[in-house]
Amino acid sequence: MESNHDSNPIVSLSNVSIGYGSSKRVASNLNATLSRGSLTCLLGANGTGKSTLIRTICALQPMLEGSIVLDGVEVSHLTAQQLSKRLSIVLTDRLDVANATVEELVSYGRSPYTGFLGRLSDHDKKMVDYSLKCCQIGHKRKELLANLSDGERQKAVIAKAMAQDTPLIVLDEPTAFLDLPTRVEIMQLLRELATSFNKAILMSTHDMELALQMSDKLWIMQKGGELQAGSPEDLQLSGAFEQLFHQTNVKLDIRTGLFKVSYNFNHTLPTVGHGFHFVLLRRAFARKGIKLDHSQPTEGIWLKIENLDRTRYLIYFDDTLISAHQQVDEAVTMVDYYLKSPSLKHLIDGSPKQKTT
Amino acid sequence: MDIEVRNSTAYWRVILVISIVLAILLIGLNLALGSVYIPLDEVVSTFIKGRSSNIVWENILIRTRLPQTITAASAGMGLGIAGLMMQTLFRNPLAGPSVLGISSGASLGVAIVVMASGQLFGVSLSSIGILGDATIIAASLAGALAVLLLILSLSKRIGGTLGVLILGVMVGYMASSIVGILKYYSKEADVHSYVIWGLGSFSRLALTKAYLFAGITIIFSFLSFLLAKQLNIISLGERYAANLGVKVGRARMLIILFSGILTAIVTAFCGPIVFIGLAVPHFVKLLIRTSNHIYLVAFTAVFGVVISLFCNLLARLPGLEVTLPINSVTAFIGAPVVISVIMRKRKATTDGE
Repeated sequence: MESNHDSNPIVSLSNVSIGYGSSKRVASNLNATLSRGSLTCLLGANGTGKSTLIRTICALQPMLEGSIVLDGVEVSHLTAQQLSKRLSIVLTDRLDVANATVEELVSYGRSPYTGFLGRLSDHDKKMVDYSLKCCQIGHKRKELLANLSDGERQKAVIAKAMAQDTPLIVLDEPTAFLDLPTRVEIMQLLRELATSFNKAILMSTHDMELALQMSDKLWIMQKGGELQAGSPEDLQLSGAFEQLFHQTNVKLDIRTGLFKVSYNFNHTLPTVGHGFHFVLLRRAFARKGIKLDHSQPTEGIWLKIENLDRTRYLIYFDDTLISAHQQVDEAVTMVDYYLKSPSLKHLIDGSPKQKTT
Repeated sequence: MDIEVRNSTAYWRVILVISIVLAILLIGLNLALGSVYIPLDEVVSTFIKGRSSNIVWENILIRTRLPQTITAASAGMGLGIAGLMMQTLFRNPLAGPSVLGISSGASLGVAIVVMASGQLFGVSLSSIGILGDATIIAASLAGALAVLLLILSLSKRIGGTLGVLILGVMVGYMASSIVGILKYYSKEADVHSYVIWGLGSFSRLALTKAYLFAGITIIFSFLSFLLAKQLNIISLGERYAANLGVKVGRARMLIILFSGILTAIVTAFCGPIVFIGLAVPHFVKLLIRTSNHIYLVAFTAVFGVVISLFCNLLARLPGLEVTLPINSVTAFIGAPVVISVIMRKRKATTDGE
């Protein structure tokens, strides 16, 4: 799975075990590398140890076994000062610094390079300006952090990491709590930073679809504590995703790279009709556990989509029309009601009929 | 006011000049005003020429008003900076110098000396006078430093900053409960002198002691100023601070140490002074919009002097024969500042949503 440009990785994990002491080992025997100029997404279900791995790589938590080599040096041999010039982080901790402006936050990213009182040199100031600009947050430089939107705040924190001028940036779920357009924007920004500034960027995320489309590499933490690394495409083909969603209701369509939720169906409802209305109707019924199919209605309850001047959904029992609806919601509610009601046949023709199926 | 304005260095210079002028003016007023009015030119001539036309005025100035002014100014500076450091370390706007239980420790020290000694040896220290004064300072310092040492030694074993905060508050409660027991079993006169001590005062020190007090306070205020960079980075939270190359444990220890010593010294020499340490940093943060502690510490020092001198002036309301307890004044000035900060903060968050 190792490709050529990985020959000189900025980070390499070999046989790493993570956890909290020997009693709470989260995952072991992890092997992977990160290289400059690439964006890597760390995926995995909750509880598989994504955050633990991130914290371990950031040296915020001791590693149990193995070795993490960062820029040619074993992480545990680096002093805090040396580490601060090699690795910058963006955490899920909400940065609530009273009265801090964006510019001040970003300038604190220069602290590994500044002197005793933290005065900024001309070079430091240039780096701050530059970081603000390339993270597209320069226009808010004098704004208080507290007045920013979540997306803007995330950009400011990323700008802080840029100002720190490290070959590796590690982000813990930077797109959590953001709306979809902002998530895409942040991912694009990280992509841009990785390629244009030749940085190695590792981010954990739950956004599989974005990760599949935008990252160069994926790290997938499996439930058993196994870490699979590779390009999204290779991992898709190797079946890593099926394993990731094993025993869940989610399926990855590897041809489209999209996810599908699978439902538990309790009923099947014969339906006459097709087209977009059928697709929507199918999804609405699926949520209620009712599967629509195109089999020829014989007896019992069935549905017809009528496309005259207006679309109507007609519910039949045997060959009797029971009700007609213009709203999908109504049709679903009524069908659900009829299917659950034991004395439906009473309601319809008043005479009890023996069910033959 | 616009944030851009409050963030500009030109505006800061104006504020700095105004505050220094205010400080000088208040020093003058503190010396001139009181139960006896001394004209400002006489005040100036006493200090510049070394003598005044009126020997009584000279005596009042040198023996009471000058030490009191020095004490008030130093206490304001020390408490303001101590409070600022606590607010930053604990990332809590309601933190103040007393939050680590250090002033409670000081109170316990004093309570033991004032009340328990009366019980055990039959001698009320309150009746001894000057010797008693030094004993009370020593007792208060001993109590405060004992609590500080306890907090520092336990804080290494406690992981997070929040744990240290809870530890401080709990130690404070324990000290207060022992004080409560002592009060319950002590003579009325002793309890009274303890209560008087607890009201705080800037006028207990003679000139030499005031100089000593000012000297120590200035040294530790300056040392705290040197922590500005660490304070800035710590304010981002422990994990970001660690990633920026700060040794969080050591930085936290130094912050607690300097803040604790400032609080201990002020409490020993003046009694527990409330609200200055809480309100001054807020007042500064309202005036200048920055998170940079180089400026915050410097401005807090100046405004600590200004606000403390202002309170001291109010406590000796001109034209009034009596003096108000300083803590009643500081609470009346300080509480509205804190309330307005909280109100603004709430408004800001609801506006944002």
